[in-house]
Amino acid sequence: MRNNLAYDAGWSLLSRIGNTPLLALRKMTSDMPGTRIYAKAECFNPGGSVKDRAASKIIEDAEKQGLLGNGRILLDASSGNTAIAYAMICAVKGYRCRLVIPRNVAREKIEMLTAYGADLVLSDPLEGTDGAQRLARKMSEEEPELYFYADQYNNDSNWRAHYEGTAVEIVSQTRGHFDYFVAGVGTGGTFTGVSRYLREVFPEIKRVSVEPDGPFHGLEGLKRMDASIRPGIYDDTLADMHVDVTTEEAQGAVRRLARQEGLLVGPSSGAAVVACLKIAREHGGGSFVTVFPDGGQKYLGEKFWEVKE
Amino acid sequence: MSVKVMIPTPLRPYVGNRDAVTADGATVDEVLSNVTAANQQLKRHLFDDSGQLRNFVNVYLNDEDIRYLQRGTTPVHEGDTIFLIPSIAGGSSGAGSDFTYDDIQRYSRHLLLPEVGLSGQLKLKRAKVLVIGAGGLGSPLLLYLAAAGVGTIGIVDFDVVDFSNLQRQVIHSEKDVGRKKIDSAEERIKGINPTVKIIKFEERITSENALDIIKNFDIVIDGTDNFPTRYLVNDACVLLGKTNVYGSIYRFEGQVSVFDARKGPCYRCLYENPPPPGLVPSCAEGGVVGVLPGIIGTIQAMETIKLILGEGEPLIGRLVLFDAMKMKFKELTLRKNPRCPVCGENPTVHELIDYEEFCGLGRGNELSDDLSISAEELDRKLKAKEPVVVLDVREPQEWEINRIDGSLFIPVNDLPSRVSELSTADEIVVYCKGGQRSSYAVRFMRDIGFKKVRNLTGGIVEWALKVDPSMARY
Repeated sequence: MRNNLAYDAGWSLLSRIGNTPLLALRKMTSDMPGTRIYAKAECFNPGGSVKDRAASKIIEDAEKQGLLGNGRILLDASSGNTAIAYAMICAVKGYRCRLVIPRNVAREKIEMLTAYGADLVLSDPLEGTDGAQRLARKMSEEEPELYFYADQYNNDSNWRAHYEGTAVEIVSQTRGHFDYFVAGVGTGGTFTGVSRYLREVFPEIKRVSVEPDGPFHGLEGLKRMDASIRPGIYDDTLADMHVDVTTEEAQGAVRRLARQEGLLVGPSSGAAVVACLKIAREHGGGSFVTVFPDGGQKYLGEKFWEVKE
Repeated sequence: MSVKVMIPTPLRPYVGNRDAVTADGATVDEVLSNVTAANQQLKRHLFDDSGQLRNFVNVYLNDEDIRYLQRGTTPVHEGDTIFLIPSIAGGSSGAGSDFTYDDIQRYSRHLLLPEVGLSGQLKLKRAKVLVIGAGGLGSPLLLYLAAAGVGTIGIVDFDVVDFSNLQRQVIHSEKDVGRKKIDSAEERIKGINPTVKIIKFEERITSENALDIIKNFDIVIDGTDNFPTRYLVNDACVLLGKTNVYGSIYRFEGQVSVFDARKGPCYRCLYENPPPPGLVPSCAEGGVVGVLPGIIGTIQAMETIKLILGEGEPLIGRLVLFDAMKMKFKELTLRKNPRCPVCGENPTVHELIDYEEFCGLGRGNELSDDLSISAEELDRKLKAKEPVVVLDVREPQEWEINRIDGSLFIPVNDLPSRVSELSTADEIVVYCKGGQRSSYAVRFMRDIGFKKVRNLTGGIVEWALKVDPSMARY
């Protein structure tokens, strides 16, 4: 009998979370000498987004504290990507999960979640992710013994996943040779975790947080902090700069990334690259590391693709 | 045209923190431009510099995305609602599931069951079940199906609540006596679960309307207690490929099965032909213990819910017999009859037939006038002391309630063995409760040589109505 261990086979799905490639976006900066943009392509995670990192850390930490198991149901609110990550990981580990999502998330996401076997509770579309978060909290308060309320917005495991994972990967991929770390904020997990690590090891790197330009926007996964329920884990004192991006600017960048770089990503990735380009123009270049939270497949039904450029 | 425009949370500060505003206009575009005309802030958020609606704003008219209607030129009507929904991601407003917070609360005991869970509860919510008859079986069925969250329930019933129904038809209350059963049932269901959609068919189910009524439902539950309807519902379900959850009750005994001709036998495989009319008394004639429909109806409800969930082992191909007095359940295996006239290999029934006729109740099978006598005429003969033998063929307990004075008493099923107690020379008038069993008796006696036997039309019910109003009724 052959020894299977001699082959590159038998990987567990969850072991593929993290260690995403850091891609160079050359075309986007071809007319900007002195500007380099590198993006952590988080769509390479098995669940398709950066949220695999936070979700797996949240679940692992909960297991260690004995908060899961015994039939407890994982409960959280999400606009989609965290929900997908929870659903995938819970499928692997055999936990039940119940996810509160605004009713207006893309049908493709609902179908994905159903495919993974998650329970869905749809919240008022007019109230967005804040409404979903309020509803999840209410559900957990009413039946605390039934749920493990993961609460990604206030769970330290969220930012720690990036402090221990994303940040370490970026440093080992770049040796710290870049000027700006740029990240959009939704829960603030990516920005807070990576920035905290960078502040400790390379404090001279400028840390930039990116937000939508107003409360009413189409940038999935991002939040206008002054108009939303503020996530407990978001530490904006880590930010050297804030950049606002409009939905339309981000959408334009998403189209360019697809058509020039062959990189199909979601609107929040567009916002990230727009923020890098804005800073580069203002400060005469620089080298940037940013995070592209997810791929573009889930957004193909959006109207902004109809524009020809 | 005045239309309501629902405002998403981020934009509410621009409209005085209201969640909706009203505006006039003939089309979606007109309404939105009127809403924003006096409100520059709102306009800036909704429209780009060229006056186009920003591309991440999805607009729904009632529940439809206007992209799939006529976009901005979609006409609006009085009372419509427009939703402005930022596409957090793609944005479909109602697609997929629609489980709400209230549902979580209401169905929490279901959601804890792995066999139900949220996906099962959604199946229940999307299910469409037709209940034929809002009486003894219909009462527990409707109450439990509604409580369990079956989303759409059709009810077929044309009857009104009678005082004698209250002993077992627990969906109706004393205050409902004289009211349509369908309305009384609806009120009770709404009281338990207002989210249930009720479709009312206030009519008798017939060969003409059965296919139209049944076709839009997934599962049909027969809660009637007469043979023509039972065969009609069976045949209609076989023809339409629907599942038929069958239950029947009589006195202290009940039967339950699930007929799905695609997977097993149908009612006709079990009983190819109906019994002769009058032989099997109905509950109105033979009585029924009030708890029995509760037991059989809830078993039917349980089977229905299992079928919707796709869980467990349905009663397909099995007939459960329940005896309340012995408190025993028995189970018979039913086999599909390859010669079944409706679901067999070479079916002869391809459309609905006349089931009254099939069950021997059609006009051609009624006793002719010379074999019948009215209550008034019998009364006249008795008062005139004409030599008439009055024969009661009901059951002993019916006899205890009331009887026509001076009548002989031989229950219909004992008649063949005791017919020698009667003389063919006498003029005999036979009665039962309503005239059904007695006409069977008249036919039987005619066949064996009684030439002067007649049936009391309308039975003792008619007698009490026309001749003796002081008589106890049941």
